[in-house]
Amino acid sequence: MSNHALQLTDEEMRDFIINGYVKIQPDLPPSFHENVRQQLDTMFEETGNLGNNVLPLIPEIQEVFDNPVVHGAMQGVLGENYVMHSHRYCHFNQQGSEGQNFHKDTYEGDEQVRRHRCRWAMAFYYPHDVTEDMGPTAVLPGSQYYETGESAHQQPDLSLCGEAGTVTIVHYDLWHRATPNQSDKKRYMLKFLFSRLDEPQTPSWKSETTDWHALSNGDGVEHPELWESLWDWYNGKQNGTANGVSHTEVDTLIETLNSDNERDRLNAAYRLGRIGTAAVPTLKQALFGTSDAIRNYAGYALSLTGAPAVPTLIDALQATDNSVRATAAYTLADMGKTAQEAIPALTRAAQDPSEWVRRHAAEGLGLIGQQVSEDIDLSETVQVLTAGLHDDYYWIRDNAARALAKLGTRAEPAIPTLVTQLEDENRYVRFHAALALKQIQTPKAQDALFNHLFASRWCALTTRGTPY
Amino acid sequence: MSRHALQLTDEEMRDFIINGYVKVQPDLPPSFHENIYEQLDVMFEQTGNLGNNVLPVIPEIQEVFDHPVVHGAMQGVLGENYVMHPHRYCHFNQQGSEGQNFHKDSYAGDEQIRRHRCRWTMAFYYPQDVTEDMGPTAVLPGSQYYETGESAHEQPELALTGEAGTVTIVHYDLWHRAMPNRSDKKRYMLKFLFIRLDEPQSPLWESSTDDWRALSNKEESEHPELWESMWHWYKGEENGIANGISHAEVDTLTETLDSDNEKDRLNAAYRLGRVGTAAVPALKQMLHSTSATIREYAGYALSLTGVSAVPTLIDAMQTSDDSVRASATFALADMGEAAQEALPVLTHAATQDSSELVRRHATEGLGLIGQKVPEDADLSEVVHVLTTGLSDDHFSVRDNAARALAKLGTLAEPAIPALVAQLEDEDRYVRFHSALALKEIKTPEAQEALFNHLFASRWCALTTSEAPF
Repeated sequence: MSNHALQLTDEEMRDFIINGYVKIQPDLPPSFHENVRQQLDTMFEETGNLGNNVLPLIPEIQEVFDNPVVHGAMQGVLGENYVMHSHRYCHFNQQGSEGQNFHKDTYEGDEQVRRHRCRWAMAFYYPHDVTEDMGPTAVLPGSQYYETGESAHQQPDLSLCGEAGTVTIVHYDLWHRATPNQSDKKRYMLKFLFSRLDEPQTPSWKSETTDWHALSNGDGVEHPELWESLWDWYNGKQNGTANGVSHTEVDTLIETLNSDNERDRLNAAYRLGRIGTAAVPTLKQALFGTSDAIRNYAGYALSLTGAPAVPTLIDALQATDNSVRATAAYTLADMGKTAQEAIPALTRAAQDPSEWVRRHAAEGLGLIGQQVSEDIDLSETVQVLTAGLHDDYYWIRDNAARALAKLGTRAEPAIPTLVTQLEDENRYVRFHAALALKQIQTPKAQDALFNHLFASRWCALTTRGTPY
Repeated sequence: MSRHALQLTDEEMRDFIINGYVKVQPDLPPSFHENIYEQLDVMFEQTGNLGNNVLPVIPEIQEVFDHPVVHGAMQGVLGENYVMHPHRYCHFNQQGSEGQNFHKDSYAGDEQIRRHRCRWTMAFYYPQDVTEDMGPTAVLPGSQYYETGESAHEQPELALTGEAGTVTIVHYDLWHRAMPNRSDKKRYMLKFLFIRLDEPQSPLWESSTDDWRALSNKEESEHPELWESMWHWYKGEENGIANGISHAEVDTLTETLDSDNEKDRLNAAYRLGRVGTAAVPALKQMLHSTSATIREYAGYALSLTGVSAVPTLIDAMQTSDDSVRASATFALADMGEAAQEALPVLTHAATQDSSELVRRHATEGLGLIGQKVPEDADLSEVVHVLTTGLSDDHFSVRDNAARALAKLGTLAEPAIPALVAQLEDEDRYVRFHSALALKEIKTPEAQEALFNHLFASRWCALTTSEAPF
């Protein structure tokens, strides 16, 4: 996007990595938000909650997300070419509500895949002032890396109060909830989803230092290696920095992957991931083990290990156990460019009998394929992703369309199929097919996309009261 | 557009020129139309008639207009790069309705401007079979050139009956009405508007002859010179062919411009328009007449006259009478490429003229003429003035300015920031034409801004209050 962006600072990025959220205030006048609030009132009165269609109905909302402070913050966490996803929802927390329990959201079109590296974000926007008693959204800072409520609830509860216009961008996996609304005022919160299109190559914020140790506060360092690894990743450095752990410590760390304490498991995985080649044989055993939990953490460690782990993961794509193949595909995908030599294997895996494997493989082909040099032939990959647009499982169709979007102009042969999928039975596949046509950027793709978009173009001034 | 088009034949174009309509039948299955019919039922039950928003609510309708026979026919009458206008309406003719009187539609965003040369059409699409008793749309064939109901009603009424899927494309100015629905069935008719973007340069149909006289049936020749002039225009031949009329006849013809009989007036105007230079002095006098009717017919004649009438029309733009300036501007705009030397005076009039009507015609003319000037011509002042026109107090001027910028294409690049601002114009049609201009400008900056707007405006037809995500 060419909009003006007010970038995050190193400190703000550090806080986002640690806490999983960043709170900002676009400089729009109170009358702007009042107008949005009134239009939401009208929507609820006249048609009920129109869900994803709230944006075409009230297109002014787009200005919030185009505002330089919001745009700049989103660029920091999702890279320069992030995309607004087509899922959004106006959460109406009524007077006297009891609120919700803390939860992580499910992924639209990609359920239950938790990644530490931020490729999805949510933004919570309040169109009016929200005080503590009005049922603000609350988050558990730092909980984006925790799968269990037990670990998450050890974090202090933070209510996201603020003036009209407050926007909080959160890591998709942050635990959050609506708190009880004890006031006599309605509370609206507009939740919008955003997704990363490009894997990090350089810092997409106002970067002045690459030195995490200087930047992070020594006190309260709960997950030093996890945080630093993510810092490196956002900076465009794919591999963890070797931490010089001794071979003997590896065995202890592997055992810790099975600990009752989630925080210890997490720290062990990230410590293992920074050892390098020496840890790979042991991690391979864990990958092929019987425990899904251990396999999952081994995956994080192998992803972080990078290039030395790739041959092991490619082998694992041949395993008979669906879960092993799925984790291997997931891990290679998460690695991005480093897993370049896995493209042929993932291209085959995108046709695996297991839908989990196909799903991760399709996503991986986008994450990895977008970064390979132009002289590498991706025609087979594009062909397989194009076939994936017709998969029986909608989330594979969704991932295939998003992967084609990431490949950009190289996905040109997929144009006819993408045009067909503009009428997929699933609404998110439709959106990602449109996104892919946008990213392909050839005149043919643009012509087809304009035809679709002009036909889908809702006029917010047109209602049954003023039909023309 | 790169979609497949099944083009019209010479005979079909001839019939359109004479009768003002062409009826086509896309080969979509009955289930396709049944689905649309059912979705219209749901719309009327749940939300009422959503007017222009019927397309995003039922996007399948687009397939009707993308169909090769509809697309090809539309290209024939509106040129290759025609555009679907954002005004559309589902006309629901209820059981037992009394129907309408015959009328011409008003122009959305450009009221009461009647042009013989086809730059606007409507398409009537039936999503169900329509029989005579079900209140079909009826037209008065050939009446597109008539302003008075008196002349129009001399034409025989034609009921547009047909199977589900029937599409009738009509010249925007054709007289039409909904007939009474005496049946016990609902009748839906979806009316969509389309506009021409490029002035004709070559035939956009399967053209195999240039000879109108061989093609036309002489027995039916009520308006031989009007029709033949139109034929030439659609083929991209701008000027009328001299018809060798004597100077003496010119005086009789100019008197006829004031006849009580509209058909005679029309024939006289088109006969005069093909005399050439010799008729210009007399037409100039008529242009300055106090009668709006005479001025208007003089305008048609001067437009057809072409290049040799341009200096006279440029002079007329300096008169103090608003109506004369407006007629002159209208005639220059209608002329297109032939009026190139009028660009500076139209540029001045587009923002400086005190009459809204003059500004309106001038902005339109800048698009019609400017789009055809050679690439090395400097249009920066034209673009500057049209950009200013985007902020005019009158929405019709803003609308014409945006459409004119669309016609200029990439040359309109400096207008991008103003066009982006007008995506939030208070008028919905100005919003659309601003989006259209950004599409036609085609630079990465324009496309990025347009995609931002369009993705935010993208309605998901699967998303309702019952299925919100």
